[in-house]
Amino acid sequence: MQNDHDLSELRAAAARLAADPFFMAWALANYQMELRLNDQQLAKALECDIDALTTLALCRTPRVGDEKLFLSDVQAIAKYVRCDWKELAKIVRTVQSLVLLKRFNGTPEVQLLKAARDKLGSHKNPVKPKPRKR
Amino acid sequence: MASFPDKDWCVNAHSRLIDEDPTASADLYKAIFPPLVGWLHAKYRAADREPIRDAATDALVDYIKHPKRWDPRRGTLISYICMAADRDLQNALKKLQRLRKHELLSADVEDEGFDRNVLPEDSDPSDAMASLLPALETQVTSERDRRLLHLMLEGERSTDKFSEVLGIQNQPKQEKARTVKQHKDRLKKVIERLRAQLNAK
Repeated sequence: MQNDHDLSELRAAAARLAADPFFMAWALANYQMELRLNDQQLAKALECDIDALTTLALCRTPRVGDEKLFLSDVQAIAKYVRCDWKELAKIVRTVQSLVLLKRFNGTPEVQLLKAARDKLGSHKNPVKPKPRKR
Repeated sequence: MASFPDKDWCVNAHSRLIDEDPTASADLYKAIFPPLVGWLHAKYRAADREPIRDAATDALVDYIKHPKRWDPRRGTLISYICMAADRDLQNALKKLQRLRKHELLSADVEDEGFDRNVLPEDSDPSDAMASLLPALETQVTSERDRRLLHLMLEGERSTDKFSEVLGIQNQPKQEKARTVKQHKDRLKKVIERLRAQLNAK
């Protein structure tokens, strides 16, 4: 059982790992940054509580080279932090794709990002975007 | 302060890391990071929290990424991680101290408005420090001045500390402050003169 002080130390530790692709902290930070999600929105998408995000961030990133290993890792992590494994798999895959796109194009495709935001918005956010004025 | 997990727990977590269990790192972090930060903080009371967290993070991440480097026959996992964090923190603190010394010397001289305090563009400030410190050692021969200089290099700001070295701790406060300032200014000029000589070479 972690006390408040330990939790705040662990949150600080998880934040330090955001630049290291070895850890889920990196995938979560990238996903949040690209889709402009705060912790509440991310926790809601994953169907877990906010403290679970810290535990999730400290897990190793699933092995992406092999589909079986990837699924087994994602499911093990999801069971451990009690979150939706399908959403977790989607997050890791999305971040991997964005990283690949950045590597090849310099910047991610605006359209892909917009589509991802719209899709996420239609599922999780009832507030519709305002139509653009022409 | 949180306590470290026992030996059996560590051996089990280690096996999970070796087996590439993706959740083992989180368990290790949750069980070891808070007590490790607490232990380092207790050992280095004066140190800032940030370098302590950095050292704890580096030691844990290094173990998590390379678990096979730990040889269980040579000691417990906790002692292995603590030793690594302790070593990292000592190095970080030494580096910080060197940086502070350099900043202090630069700031002391810049405060006085000396325009010769400009290093050539291609020179490395650490090289300048490396040659300045031995030069100061030879230039400042009085034991009292060396102690004053030592306090200045450590970033000491307390007038009382300088007054003790000067043996004027019983003087009125304003008098002490004035005398301490005179001595500090004199030593700053020595530093600046030496720096100018070194730059001219």
